[in-house]
Amino acid sequence: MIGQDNIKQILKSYKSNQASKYIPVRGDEILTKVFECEKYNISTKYDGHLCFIVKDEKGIYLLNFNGKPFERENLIKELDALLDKEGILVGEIFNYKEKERTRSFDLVKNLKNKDSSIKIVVFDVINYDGNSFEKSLWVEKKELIDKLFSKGENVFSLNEIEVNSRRDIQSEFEERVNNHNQEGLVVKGFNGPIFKIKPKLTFDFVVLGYSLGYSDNFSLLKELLFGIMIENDEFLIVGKVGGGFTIDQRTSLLDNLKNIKVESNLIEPSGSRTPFTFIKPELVIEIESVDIINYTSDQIIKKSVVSFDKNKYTKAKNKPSVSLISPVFKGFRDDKKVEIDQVGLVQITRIIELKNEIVETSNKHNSKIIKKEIYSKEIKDLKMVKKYFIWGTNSSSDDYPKFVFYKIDYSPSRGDKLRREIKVSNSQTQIKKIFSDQIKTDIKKGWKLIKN
Amino acid sequence: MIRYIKIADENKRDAEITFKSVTQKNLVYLALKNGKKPINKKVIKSSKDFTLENLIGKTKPSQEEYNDFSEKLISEDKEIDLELFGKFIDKTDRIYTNKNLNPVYNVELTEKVFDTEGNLKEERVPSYLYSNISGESVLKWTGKYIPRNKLYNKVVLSSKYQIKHINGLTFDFLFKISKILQDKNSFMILGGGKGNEPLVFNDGGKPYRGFLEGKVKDNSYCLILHLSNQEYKTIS
Repeated sequence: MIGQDNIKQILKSYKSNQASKYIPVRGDEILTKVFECEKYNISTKYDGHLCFIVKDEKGIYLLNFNGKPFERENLIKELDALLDKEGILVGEIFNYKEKERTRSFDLVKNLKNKDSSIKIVVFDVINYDGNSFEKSLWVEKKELIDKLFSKGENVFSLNEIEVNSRRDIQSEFEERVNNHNQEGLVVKGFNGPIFKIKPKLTFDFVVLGYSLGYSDNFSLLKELLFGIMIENDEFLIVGKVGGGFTIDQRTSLLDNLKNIKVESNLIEPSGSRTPFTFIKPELVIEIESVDIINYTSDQIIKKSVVSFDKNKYTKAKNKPSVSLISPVFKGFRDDKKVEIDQVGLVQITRIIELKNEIVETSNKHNSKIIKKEIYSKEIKDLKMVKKYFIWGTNSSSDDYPKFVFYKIDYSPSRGDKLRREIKVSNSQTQIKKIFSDQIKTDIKKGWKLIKN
Repeated sequence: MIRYIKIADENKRDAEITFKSVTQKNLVYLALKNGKKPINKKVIKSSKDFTLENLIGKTKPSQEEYNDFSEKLISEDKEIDLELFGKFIDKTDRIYTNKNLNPVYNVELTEKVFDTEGNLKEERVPSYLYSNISGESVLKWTGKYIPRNKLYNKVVLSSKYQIKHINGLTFDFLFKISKILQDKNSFMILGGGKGNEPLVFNDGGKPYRGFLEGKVKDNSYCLILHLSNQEYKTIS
């Protein structure tokens, strides 16, 4: 693919500058949150993955925002017949089931199944035939997309209707989402922003901790930490909620929470710059939110898994999790129990998939010192020490560099006695140069090499 | 994220509009030999278990113990963790700790006021300010104009937001405000709360004076809300 890095940059930039800037609105907030515009274009929201159609001189590629390909030969073949010029177009790739709602987890499940019906709805164009459409009006883009995909079978242009008022949007929402179970609506305001309208989401979660400090008052409850139960006595942290409590609740709830506090080796920071105090996993809360996401603009969301044993939480590992957008506390569910079928994984996976876990540290062997030199210098019976290290991390994970340079500079008479410096590199040649350059700069008259 | 505010004009008519922060990307940046932008990454340099006091094993070591530590450094490598140091980290959070760098779960916040000599003048409970620009609050038109050339010498303008219309009606509304300000060649103070209070954008946030600047060109307008919480004063 021509200028692969450049294309990756365009895709990432589109994801963070365009796709992530749709304004989320709940279905019951259409009249108050959607701006009053002269007219609106409405389409059904498809629940799949953002997909870029990239055509260059070598061929056609279907990529996600990280530049990873969607392997669907039939779609590429179809696109080859439809597109005759180079360009980048944007759509949603989804799993199609007649008269059923689209679901992103169906796409993940069926993408590699050749018999599944995977389609792409095209809704934007970045550039085509040497022309940039980044600043073009929607009407111009739509005209091109309609023209290009008029004969498309599995790749087609977004079907929109035009309405004149927010009441009309409300009726469409009622019809498509409430009556026909679609995921939501995408509404483009004429000369205005784009809104994604979804029904409000409600969840039941287990409360794992609390923090103090509402409005800087540390006698009031600030937030609750909540999660889901993934195994017996094992919990995946999902998020924290600080909205939806009355001032009375911020006081009255505390007594009960303080009575069931327990120890934890996990430090989970809260919004008041104090860690959450963990509690026994006994309480279930109902949370409402505008949206739920499983990745940020550049990576999968991962959070801690904790196990609860003998009145203590212990961090087990990190696992893919989700984040809720604008979570609000609705109340305690005294009728529910902390059991897998009530506050388990299904709370999340009924709406959104949990990304596959990537094993990161299992392939890390012990680091090994490659080079080490120690120097000292004595002045009036005081010994100053400088130590220089290079070690190889022995890891193929992205969490570590290949090599680390480390310097210790110790002087017992100085105010800041122990100074440290670190530099990292993936090149052994470069790290060795850093090592020798640093020694050349530091080691002057009076310093003696003690060990290497 | 788009935020909404209500703003009033000189006739005390208000409209709900949006604002967003204005940041300009640096046109000049450090580049690698191949011209690419370097990627910044955080690495773990040390941890609380490796403070000098923890390595010596005393909260307040004596000078003799500090002197002896030189030998320990030469004979052992206990001041580094080969598996932890150098590891990349993503997002970090700040938390309050005690003197031993252990996290604290409950804190009492105080605000200390120092005089110009650096002596503690007063210690007080900090006042917590609630946002006065959201919900039903309206940013008031104060009618207090400050000529452009005077404002730059009076206050430090620390940040700015662009005020934007949301439809045809609010376009006309904001265009008119911008035109008034351009014709007067002045900024105007915007008031929060009852009309004369500084603006607080977020709960628990700092108070700022807001100065509205407007420009028009043909059929377009630009309305910028400048914020300041510092004044220039002559050195006495």
